[in-house]
Amino acid sequence: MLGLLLRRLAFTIPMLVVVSFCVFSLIVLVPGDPAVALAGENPDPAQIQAVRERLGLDDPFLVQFWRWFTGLLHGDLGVSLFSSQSVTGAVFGRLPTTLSLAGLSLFVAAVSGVAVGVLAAMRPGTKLDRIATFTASLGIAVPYFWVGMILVLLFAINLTIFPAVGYTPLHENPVQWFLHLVLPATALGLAPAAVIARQTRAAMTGVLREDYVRTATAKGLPPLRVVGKHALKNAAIPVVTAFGLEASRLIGGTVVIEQLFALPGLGSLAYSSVFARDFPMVQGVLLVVAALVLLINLLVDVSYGYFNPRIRQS
Amino acid sequence: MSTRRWGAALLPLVLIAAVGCGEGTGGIPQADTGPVDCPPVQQGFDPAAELTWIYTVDNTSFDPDKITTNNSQMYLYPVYDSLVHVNAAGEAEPMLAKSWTMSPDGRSVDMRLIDDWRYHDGVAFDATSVRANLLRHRDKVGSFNANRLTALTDVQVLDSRTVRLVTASSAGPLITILGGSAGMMMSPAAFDEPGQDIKPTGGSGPYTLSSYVPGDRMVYQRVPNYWDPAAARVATMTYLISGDDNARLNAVTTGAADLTFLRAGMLRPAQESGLVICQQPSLSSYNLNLNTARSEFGEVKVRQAMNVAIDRRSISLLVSGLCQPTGQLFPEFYYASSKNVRPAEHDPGRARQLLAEAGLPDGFSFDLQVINLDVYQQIAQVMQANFAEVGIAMSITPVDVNKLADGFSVAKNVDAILSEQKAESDPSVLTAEYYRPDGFSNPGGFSDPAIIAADQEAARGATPAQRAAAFTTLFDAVAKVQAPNISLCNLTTPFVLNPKVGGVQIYADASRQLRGAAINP
Repeated sequence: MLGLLLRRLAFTIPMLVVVSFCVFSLIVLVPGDPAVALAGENPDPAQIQAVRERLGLDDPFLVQFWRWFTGLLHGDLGVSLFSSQSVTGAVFGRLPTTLSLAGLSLFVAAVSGVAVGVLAAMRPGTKLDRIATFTASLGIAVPYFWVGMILVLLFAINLTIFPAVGYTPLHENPVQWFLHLVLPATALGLAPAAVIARQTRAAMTGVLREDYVRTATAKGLPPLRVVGKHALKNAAIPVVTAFGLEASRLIGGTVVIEQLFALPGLGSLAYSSVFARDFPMVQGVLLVVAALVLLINLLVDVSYGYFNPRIRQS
Repeated sequence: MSTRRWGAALLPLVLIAAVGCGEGTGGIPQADTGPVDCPPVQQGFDPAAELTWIYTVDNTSFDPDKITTNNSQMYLYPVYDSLVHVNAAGEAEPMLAKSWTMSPDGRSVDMRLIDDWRYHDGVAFDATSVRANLLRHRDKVGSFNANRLTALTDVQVLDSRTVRLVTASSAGPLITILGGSAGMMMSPAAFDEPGQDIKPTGGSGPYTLSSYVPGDRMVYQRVPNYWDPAAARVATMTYLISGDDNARLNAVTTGAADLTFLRAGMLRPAQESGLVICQQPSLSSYNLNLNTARSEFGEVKVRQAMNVAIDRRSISLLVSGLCQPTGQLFPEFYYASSKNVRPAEHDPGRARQLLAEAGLPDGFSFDLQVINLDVYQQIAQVMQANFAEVGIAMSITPVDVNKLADGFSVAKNVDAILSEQKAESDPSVLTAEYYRPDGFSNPGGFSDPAIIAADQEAARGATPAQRAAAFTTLFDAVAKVQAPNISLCNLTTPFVLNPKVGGVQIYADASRQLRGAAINP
């Protein structure tokens, strides 16, 4: 297992370098000159040029990239063009919010998705199965921002059970932390839950027809044990694959959900930075998000080894 | 299929229809077009209360010279007092300068400072510190305020409570300029202290910043024995940040915030929520800006034809009545405007006649760049239809907000743009930008001697009353030659408030100050 982990890790690091280069290249191609906005009111061309020179925006692309990359190697992602804030500080200051949101969403998705999928697979063709299938289709079809708005209308404005906006850090007040994340995490976790439910149902339906499951049932093992110990692990690989893909997509979804619920996370930072043309901040956010996605892929790859010993040996 | 199954299948569609169509059944919601004052402060207001405001964008720095946008000034007003206070109507009032006197030639102004006031770090507020602040605002590399203070040539300390500000030409415009970040006073001891960007320690205003979570919130606590107690009626002010219109309205509806400002699209849900809505006309306007070096815009009659071709009432309706048709940069209530200039009536016949007189009976074509947001594109579409009526073919290119100035003002390779012009602390900043040949928003170098003369005359006056006549002359001249910024309408700013909030004033210059606001009993 350790060998597999090291091999995957060795592959991840150059991938991160390539991603950072691509991110930097894309940002340089984006139209709009931040120097114009930074030069103040009614600037003349000389003042705009002075800002460009001061910020190094006039330097050749590779010079700018090398300066940024060497800073990165020292753990310095630069400084925001607009707020003088350290990018590293801003990004890691907001990371806990996004991780909280993404973590809770994935928890909602995994628990409800696997539960619904297993129940549907255990009763194929029944009313329960049809309801589960229909609900999963609905969950995939309905946009998460719409779900978020409906949840706010229902549970925050009409029933006043949960807050509509804002965030409280976990270390300040765990109860408020949870209450502030229930609605956004549910909205964001619904579509992944539906995908996981469908994958679980499909995989479990096949596994539950296998001879060894029939044998286990014939031996008199309780259904929960048959499912939990014998069937679920063997059905897990497509489910884990779907989980990994959904986790990556879900991180992108935080951009919209954080806006909708006024959560101060990486998504809202990315949104405001892109609109302001705050290049160092955009680079910092994208790099961290890319690292998160690669980490998720790494975990998914490694988990294959856990679920299937043949992969481990290969 | 059984009835029950049909019901189950149709339920999501019904839900989608109910939510999706809810906004569209009554047409475009309309605001009352006149000003509506916010509720006043009542006796027995709670001096220990907390007031929570929620706004769209974060601060860029707590150092007045390091901010990078006008919006950031709102986060600095609680911490720093300025020498002058520009009130809700846009007029200068005493603040840290309790009075001022212009020299007979109008080139300098003597400011008498308030007594017995100290910066938050204990340093005395005096003429020497004022001089240090103004020179820093003007000279610090990259200072946001440098361009506003270019006219300031010297700051002389006459005594501990009096400073003389000397300018090269006229000190008149300087008065209101000192009402914004260019006049904010910071303890000189804090100038070079690290961390002032996010944790200011040398403020001079009614509040200190007690906590700041970038992108989320800032909390201010009242300073003991503030020199103007009526300006600080709540103990704590919290400013929240959310870029989403619905989230801000939801915050006020659910009590997470006490007030926010509204956009046209939020008007109906705000009206239905039972909250208090108040509104005031602002100094901001939508403008069609033409590059006179491109297309046919160098010709006066073409610009006049375009002016009368536009249906301003339709544009006003499009934004729920929150933009009053206008024919000039500033609204009539403001001293820097002309009562003689009325918004042109939509008159396609006259437009066609003017085009024919300009030698363009078959019209012409040009490209308009607009910010890629719905409201700008919709206004552009109305104008596109108006112009098509008279034979002018206008294509629309949506661009990012930052790209707009790049092409039009810097590269100067764009025919025309549609933009929202926000107010500045002094009207001279915008008249220079639009009507001086080297102005940032005048890429074609348009110039008219009568306008330039009036602009110079307006700068010489010491008070709004003294400058008003020159501004009338200026905008009469602008209308006569139809200068290349065709103003469409002046925006109205609506706020939505929790019913307990009193004493909020909506500043015409969009400075979003909450000075004197209270929580009523």
